[in-house]
Amino acid sequence: MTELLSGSLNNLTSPMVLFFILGFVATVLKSDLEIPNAIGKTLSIYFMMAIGFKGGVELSKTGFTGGVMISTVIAVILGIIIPVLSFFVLFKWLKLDVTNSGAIAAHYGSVSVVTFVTASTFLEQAAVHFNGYMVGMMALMESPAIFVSILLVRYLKKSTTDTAKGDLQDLIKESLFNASIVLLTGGLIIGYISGEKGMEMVKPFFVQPFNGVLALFLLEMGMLAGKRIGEFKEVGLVLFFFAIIMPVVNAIIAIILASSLGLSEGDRVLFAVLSASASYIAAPAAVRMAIPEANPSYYITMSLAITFPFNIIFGIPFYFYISQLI
Amino acid sequence: MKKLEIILESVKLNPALRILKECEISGYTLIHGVAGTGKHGRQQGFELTDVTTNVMIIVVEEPEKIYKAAEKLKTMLKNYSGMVLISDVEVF
Repeated sequence: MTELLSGSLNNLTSPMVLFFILGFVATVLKSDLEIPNAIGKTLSIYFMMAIGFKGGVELSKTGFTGGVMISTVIAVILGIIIPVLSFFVLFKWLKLDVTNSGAIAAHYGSVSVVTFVTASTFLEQAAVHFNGYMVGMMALMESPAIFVSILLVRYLKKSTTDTAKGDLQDLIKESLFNASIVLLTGGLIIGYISGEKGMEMVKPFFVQPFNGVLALFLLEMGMLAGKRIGEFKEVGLVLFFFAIIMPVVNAIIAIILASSLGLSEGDRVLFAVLSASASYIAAPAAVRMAIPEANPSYYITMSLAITFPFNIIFGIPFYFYISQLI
Repeated sequence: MKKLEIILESVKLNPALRILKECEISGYTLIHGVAGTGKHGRQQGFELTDVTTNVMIIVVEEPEKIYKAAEKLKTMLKNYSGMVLISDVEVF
């Protein structure tokens, strides 16, 4: 328990988390603080390139070990069971309608890149090793949940309007070739090809400023979360608690699965974080296309303004603690 | 000549452009990042995702093509926020 408290305290006093809180507070207090949109988008591209590249370089050192295969199996299993479980909790227990249940399940089954980045920084500070190919697992876990949830909605709600061929192509394009999947996978391949030598060339850009840039990006994320606070009322208490409890349940499932298959501590924590995180970039766009009847205020507010802050501030040290217990 | 102005969510931009093509409308003006408030609440303009961003398409064409496209667009936008406006214009 003392470890959990000290881990949480260390996390809470890290500049990244404190800048996130600052962004949130500044927006709630209606400060005129603003980060231009183009910078926000550039920062997210930077993270996806940097984390993909670093993962690829690590992979070039270790090579494709048996862990890659086991992790791929875990990623696929989690990518399917988490949205199904989330869907049935929402639909059967919480009595939410089919479309909103499916839309929210897609977000909770998919992943958040920034939560992963923050967790990997947390692990580096705690000197816990994790494998480079975990970035590939993140890319792998981004889409299945979106397709699974859309299929569940289509199956249970027969009246859903048919999707035109062109619209289906847009949906597949958005889900499989969106910016984060392209950059994470591309960065991973480039990092693998160029290896340690390539890393030396780009280190001043991708490694040294990484944490500072993360602090700036989390300031922006804090502001985005703060902007959504007005929509908490619409989300309601039931979904508010779902947005906190479901990630913890998903994280525990991931830790048990990863432990039983013998993954290292760092990889277990990252699987927990991937399972606990909710998408706020890829999933909203795909869901809006495929399930237009669902309310975007629910899924965007829940993933961006409730689950994301929860994971960044409390979730990561908690999952780290749980992974040590199991 | 008629002017067709369509304000719609970014996620429906490609389907809307396909409709214009089907109606043999090849020229249009596109404005990204359109923000505003309406029946569906405030469209904030940006949130790392295009879901809360609107775009505007402006077309000037023969009335027949404009009404044909407007009908199809209206059906397509059934579950989305947005507007389809038609007005008389003079091309100078």
